[in-house]
Amino acid sequence: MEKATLPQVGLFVCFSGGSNSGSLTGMAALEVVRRLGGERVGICSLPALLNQVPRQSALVSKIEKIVIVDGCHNQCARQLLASVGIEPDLYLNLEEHLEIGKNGPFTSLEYTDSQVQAVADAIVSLIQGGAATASTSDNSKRSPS
Amino acid sequence: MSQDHEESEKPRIGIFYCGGAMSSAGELTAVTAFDVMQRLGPKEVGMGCIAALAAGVPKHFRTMQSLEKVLVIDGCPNACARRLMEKTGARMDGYVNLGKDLGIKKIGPFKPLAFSQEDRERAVEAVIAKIREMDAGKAE
Repeated sequence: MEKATLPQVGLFVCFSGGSNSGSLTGMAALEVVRRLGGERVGICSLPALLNQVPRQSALVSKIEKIVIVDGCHNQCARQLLASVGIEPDLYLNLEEHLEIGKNGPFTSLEYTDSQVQAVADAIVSLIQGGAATASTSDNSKRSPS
Repeated sequence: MSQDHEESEKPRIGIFYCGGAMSSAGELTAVTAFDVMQRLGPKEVGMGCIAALAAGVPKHFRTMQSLEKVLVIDGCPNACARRLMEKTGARMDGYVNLGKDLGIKKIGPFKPLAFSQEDRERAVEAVIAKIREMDAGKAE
Protein backbone atom coordinates (compact mmCIF):
# COMPACT_ATOMS: atom_id res chain seq x y z
CA MET A 1 0.00 0.00 0.00
CA GLU A 2 1.01 3.61 -0.52
CA LYS A 3 2.16 6.04 2.15
CA ALA A 4 -0.97 6.89 4.09
CA THR A 5 -2.53 10.30 4.55
CA LEU A 6 -4.76 9.89 7.56
CA PRO A 7 -8.35 11.13 7.35
CA GLN A 8 -9.77 13.02 10.34
CA VAL A 9 -12.60 10.53 10.69
CA GLY A 10 -12.38 6.75 10.40
CA LEU A 11 -15.65 5.15 9.34
CA PHE A 12 -16.43 1.51 10.10
CA VAL A 13 -19.61 -0.03 8.69
CA CYS A 14 -20.94 -3.57 9.00
CA PHE A 15 -21.39 -3.77 5.18
CA SER A 16 -23.26 -7.01 5.37
CA GLY A 17 -24.57 -7.96 1.97
CA GLY A 18 -26.86 -10.38 3.76
CA SER A 19 -29.66 -7.85 4.16
CA ASN A 20 -30.91 -4.53 2.85
CA SER A 21 -29.82 -2.63 5.95
CA GLY A 22 -26.30 -4.07 5.85
CA SER A 23 -25.96 -3.19 2.18
CA LEU A 24 -27.12 0.32 2.94
CA THR A 25 -24.30 0.89 5.44
CA GLY A 26 -21.70 0.13 2.76
CA MET A 27 -23.32 2.17 0.02
CA ALA A 28 -23.86 5.14 2.31
CA ALA A 29 -20.25 5.03 3.50
CA LEU A 30 -19.04 5.50 -0.08
CA GLU A 31 -21.46 8.39 -0.54
CA VAL A 32 -20.12 10.05 2.61
CA VAL A 33 -16.56 9.82 1.27
CA ARG A 34 -17.73 11.30 -2.05
CA ARG A 35 -19.39 14.22 -0.24
CA LEU A 36 -16.81 15.04 2.42
CA GLY A 37 -13.64 13.92 0.65
CA GLY A 38 -10.94 11.47 1.58
CA GLU A 39 -9.03 13.89 3.77
CA ARG A 40 -12.03 14.30 6.04
CA VAL A 41 -13.37 10.71 6.07
CA GLY A 42 -11.78 7.35 5.35
CA ILE A 43 -13.51 3.97 5.38
CA CYS A 44 -11.73 1.47 7.61
CA SER A 45 -11.66 -2.31 7.21
CA LEU A 46 -13.64 -4.23 9.80
CA PRO A 47 -12.21 -7.65 8.79
CA ALA A 48 -8.61 -6.35 8.91
CA LEU A 49 -9.07 -4.92 12.40
CA LEU A 50 -10.72 -8.11 13.63
CA ASN A 51 -7.73 -10.06 12.37
CA GLN A 52 -5.48 -7.39 13.90
CA VAL A 53 -3.53 -6.85 10.68
CA PRO A 54 -0.64 -4.68 11.98
CA ARG A 55 -0.61 -1.91 9.34
CA GLN A 56 -4.37 -1.33 9.35
CA SER A 57 -4.55 -1.52 13.15
CA ALA A 58 -1.72 1.01 13.49
CA LEU A 59 -3.36 3.42 11.04
CA VAL A 60 -6.72 3.26 12.78
CA SER A 61 -5.16 3.88 16.19
CA LYS A 62 -3.90 7.26 14.90
CA ILE A 63 -7.22 8.51 13.53
CA GLU A 64 -8.74 11.38 15.50
CA LYS A 65 -12.37 10.26 15.51
CA ILE A 66 -13.98 6.85 14.97
CA VAL A 67 -17.54 6.44 13.68
CA ILE A 68 -19.25 3.04 13.60
CA VAL A 69 -22.42 2.35 11.60
CA ASP A 70 -24.47 -0.82 12.01
CA GLY A 71 -27.45 -1.84 9.94
CA CYS A 72 -29.50 -3.69 12.55
CA HIS A 73 -30.08 -4.57 16.18
CA ASN A 74 -27.37 -7.24 16.12
CA GLN A 75 -24.83 -4.37 16.27
CA CYS A 76 -22.14 -6.65 14.82
CA ALA A 77 -19.64 -3.96 13.87
CA ARG A 78 -19.84 -2.27 17.25
CA GLN A 79 -19.57 -5.52 19.18
CA LEU A 80 -16.74 -6.93 17.10
CA LEU A 81 -14.70 -3.74 17.31
CA ALA A 82 -15.23 -3.61 21.07
CA SER A 83 -13.72 -7.09 21.22
CA VAL A 84 -10.46 -5.68 19.84
CA GLY A 85 -10.53 -2.60 22.06
CA ILE A 86 -12.09 -0.09 19.67
CA GLU A 87 -14.98 2.03 20.95
CA PRO A 88 -16.71 4.60 18.73
CA ASP A 89 -16.66 8.32 19.30
CA LEU A 90 -19.94 8.35 17.36
CA TYR A 91 -22.36 5.54 16.60
CA LEU A 92 -25.30 5.13 14.23
CA ASN A 93 -27.66 2.18 13.97
CA LEU A 94 -29.99 2.29 10.96
CA GLU A 95 -32.71 0.24 12.60
CA GLU A 96 -32.57 1.98 15.97
CA HIS A 97 -31.86 5.58 15.01
CA LEU A 98 -33.33 5.88 11.50
CA GLU A 99 -36.09 3.26 11.80
CA ILE A 100 -34.99 1.52 8.61
CA GLY A 101 -36.42 -2.00 8.70
CA LYS A 102 -34.27 -5.03 8.09
CA ASN A 103 -35.87 -7.20 5.39
CA GLY A 104 -33.30 -10.00 5.33
CA PRO A 105 -32.00 -12.54 4.83
CA PHE A 106 -30.97 -12.38 1.16
CA THR A 107 -32.45 -8.94 0.60
CA SER A 108 -29.13 -7.36 -0.36
CA LEU A 109 -30.56 -5.39 -3.29
CA GLU A 110 -33.74 -4.17 -1.58
CA TYR A 111 -32.71 -0.58 -1.01
CA THR A 112 -33.24 2.63 -2.93
CA ASP A 113 -30.96 5.50 -3.86
CA SER A 114 -33.05 7.82 -1.71
CA GLN A 115 -32.34 5.54 1.27
CA VAL A 116 -28.61 5.64 0.49
CA GLN A 117 -28.80 9.45 0.42
CA ALA A 118 -30.81 9.53 3.67
CA VAL A 119 -28.32 7.31 5.49
CA ALA A 120 -25.43 9.38 4.10
CA ASP A 121 -27.23 12.53 5.34
CA ALA A 122 -27.43 11.00 8.83
CA ILE A 123 -23.75 10.01 8.88
CA VAL A 124 -22.64 13.43 7.63
CA SER A 125 -24.86 15.10 10.21
CA LEU A 126 -23.38 12.92 12.94
CA ILE A 127 -19.83 13.75 11.87
CA GLN A 128 -20.62 17.43 11.71
CA GLY A 129 -22.21 17.35 15.14
CA GLY A 130 -25.79 17.91 14.09
CA ALA A 131 -27.44 14.68 15.12
CA ALA A 132 -28.63 13.29 18.42
CA THR A 133 -27.40 9.77 17.83
CA ALA A 134 -23.87 10.33 19.00
CA SER A 135 -22.40 8.19 21.71
CA THR A 136 -19.15 9.56 23.01
CA SER A 137 -16.31 7.54 24.40
CA ASP A 138 -12.86 7.98 25.78
CA ASN A 139 -10.32 7.95 22.95
CA SER A 140 -7.97 5.93 25.13
CA LYS A 141 -10.25 2.91 24.63
CA ARG A 142 -9.60 2.98 20.92
CA SER A 143 -6.14 1.48 20.66
CA PRO A 144 -6.42 -2.03 19.27
CA SER A 145 -5.42 -4.61 21.84
CA MET B 1 -41.79 -6.89 6.80
CA SER B 2 -38.83 -8.80 8.13
CA GLN B 3 -38.58 -12.43 7.09
CA ASP B 4 -37.26 -15.15 9.35
CA HIS B 5 -34.10 -16.97 8.32
CA GLU B 6 -35.83 -20.36 8.44
CA GLU B 7 -38.82 -19.22 6.35
CA SER B 8 -37.05 -17.20 3.67
CA GLU B 9 -36.39 -18.49 0.19
CA LYS B 10 -32.74 -19.46 0.02
CA PRO B 11 -30.32 -19.13 -2.85
CA ARG B 12 -28.31 -22.12 -4.00
CA ILE B 13 -24.94 -20.47 -3.37
CA GLY B 14 -23.89 -18.13 -0.58
CA ILE B 15 -21.09 -15.60 -1.03
CA PHE B 16 -19.11 -14.06 1.80
CA TYR B 17 -16.88 -11.13 0.85
CA CYS B 18 -14.30 -9.19 2.82
CA GLY B 19 -15.80 -5.76 2.05
CA GLY B 20 -12.93 -4.02 3.85
CA ALA B 21 -13.27 -0.75 1.99
CA MET B 22 -10.05 0.69 3.41
CA SER B 23 -8.58 -0.22 0.01
CA SER B 24 -9.71 -0.69 -3.57
CA ALA B 25 -9.28 -4.46 -3.33
CA GLY B 26 -11.55 -4.76 -0.30
CA GLU B 27 -14.27 -2.64 -1.88
CA LEU B 28 -13.93 -4.63 -5.11
CA THR B 29 -14.84 -7.85 -3.27
CA ALA B 30 -18.22 -6.31 -2.39
CA VAL B 31 -18.78 -4.81 -5.84
CA THR B 32 -17.96 -8.18 -7.38
CA ALA B 33 -20.38 -10.04 -5.10
CA PHE B 34 -23.20 -7.60 -5.98
CA ASP B 35 -22.39 -7.87 -9.71
CA VAL B 36 -22.38 -11.67 -9.60
CA MET B 37 -25.69 -11.70 -7.78
CA GLN B 38 -27.23 -9.40 -10.38
CA ARG B 39 -25.91 -11.50 -13.26
CA LEU B 40 -26.86 -14.93 -11.92
CA GLY B 41 -29.99 -13.91 -10.06
CA PRO B 42 -31.10 -14.20 -6.42
CA LYS B 43 -32.24 -17.82 -6.73
CA GLU B 44 -28.74 -18.81 -7.70
CA VAL B 45 -26.64 -16.49 -5.50
CA GLY B 46 -27.20 -14.75 -2.18
CA MET B 47 -24.84 -12.91 0.09
CA GLY B 48 -23.84 -13.72 3.62
CA CYS B 49 -22.69 -11.36 6.33
CA ILE B 50 -19.11 -11.87 7.46
CA ALA B 51 -19.70 -9.53 10.41
CA ALA B 52 -22.70 -11.54 11.65
CA LEU B 53 -20.75 -14.74 11.25
CA ALA B 54 -17.78 -13.35 13.17
CA ALA B 55 -20.11 -12.01 15.85
CA GLY B 56 -21.63 -15.47 16.27
CA VAL B 57 -25.22 -14.61 15.31
CA PRO B 58 -26.72 -18.17 15.45
CA LYS B 59 -29.47 -17.79 12.81
CA HIS B 60 -27.01 -16.44 10.30
CA PHE B 61 -24.58 -19.29 10.84
CA ARG B 62 -27.31 -21.94 10.45
CA THR B 63 -28.79 -20.34 7.34
CA MET B 64 -25.50 -20.02 5.52
CA GLN B 65 -24.41 -23.54 6.45
CA SER B 66 -27.65 -24.92 5.03
CA LEU B 67 -26.95 -23.61 1.52
CA GLU B 68 -25.73 -25.96 -1.18
CA LYS B 69 -22.36 -24.18 -1.62
CA VAL B 70 -20.47 -21.39 0.12
CA LEU B 71 -17.91 -19.20 -1.68
CA VAL B 72 -15.57 -16.68 -0.03
CA ILE B 73 -13.95 -13.66 -1.74
CA ASP B 74 -10.91 -11.85 -0.35
CA GLY B 75 -9.24 -8.83 -1.88
CA CYS B 76 -5.63 -9.19 -0.76
CA PRO B 77 -3.09 -11.58 0.75
CA ASN B 78 -4.22 -10.72 4.29
CA ALA B 79 -7.12 -13.09 3.56
CA CYS B 80 -9.23 -11.58 6.34
CA ALA B 81 -12.56 -13.07 5.28
CA ARG B 82 -11.06 -16.54 4.98
CA ARG B 83 -9.42 -16.24 8.38
CA LEU B 84 -12.69 -15.15 9.97
CA MET B 85 -14.51 -18.08 8.33
CA GLU B 86 -11.90 -20.48 9.67
CA LYS B 87 -12.18 -19.04 13.19
CA THR B 88 -15.92 -19.72 13.22
CA GLY B 89 -15.65 -23.20 11.74
CA ALA B 90 -17.95 -22.22 8.89
CA ARG B 91 -17.98 -24.27 5.71
CA MET B 92 -16.18 -22.94 2.62
CA ASP B 93 -16.54 -24.79 -0.68
CA GLY B 94 -14.74 -22.29 -2.91
CA TYR B 95 -12.35 -19.39 -2.50
CA VAL B 96 -11.18 -16.49 -4.70
CA ASN B 97 -8.46 -14.06 -3.66
CA LEU B 98 -8.40 -11.11 -6.07
CA GLY B 99 -4.77 -10.30 -5.28
CA LYS B 100 -3.25 -13.77 -5.19
CA ASP B 101 -5.38 -15.45 -7.85
CA LEU B 102 -5.88 -12.60 -10.32
CA GLY B 103 -2.97 -10.26 -9.58
CA ILE B 104 -5.35 -7.37 -8.91
CA LYS B 105 -3.48 -4.55 -7.23
CA LYS B 106 -4.49 -3.28 -3.81
CA ILE B 107 -4.62 0.52 -3.87
CA GLY B 108 -4.89 2.39 -0.61
CA PRO B 109 -5.28 3.01 2.18
CA PHE B 110 -8.48 5.07 2.05
CA LYS B 111 -8.99 4.70 -1.71
CA PRO B 112 -11.99 2.37 -1.99
CA LEU B 113 -12.99 3.34 -5.51
CA ALA B 114 -9.54 3.19 -7.11
CA PHE B 115 -10.14 -0.13 -8.91
CA SER B 116 -10.46 -0.24 -12.69
CA GLN B 117 -13.51 -1.41 -14.64
CA GLU B 118 -11.26 -3.98 -16.29
CA ASP B 119 -10.37 -5.46 -12.88
CA ARG B 120 -14.05 -5.40 -11.91
CA GLU B 121 -14.96 -7.47 -14.96
CA ARG B 122 -12.06 -9.89 -14.38
CA ALA B 123 -13.14 -10.39 -10.78
CA VAL B 124 -16.75 -11.08 -11.74
CA GLU B 125 -15.71 -13.57 -14.41
CA ALA B 126 -13.35 -15.32 -11.98
CA VAL B 127 -16.05 -15.70 -9.33
CA ILE B 128 -18.55 -17.07 -11.86
CA ALA B 129 -15.88 -19.48 -13.12
CA LYS B 130 -15.24 -20.59 -9.53
CA ILE B 131 -18.95 -21.26 -9.05
CA ARG B 132 -18.90 -23.47 -12.14
CA GLU B 133 -15.84 -25.29 -10.76
CA MET B 134 -17.62 -25.82 -7.46
CA ASP B 135 -20.61 -27.24 -9.29
CA ALA B 136 -18.33 -29.61 -11.15
CA GLY B 137 -16.75 -30.70 -7.87
CA LYS B 138 -13.35 -29.24 -8.69
CA ALA B 139 -13.05 -26.39 -6.18
CA GLU B 140 -11.75 -25.07 -3.70
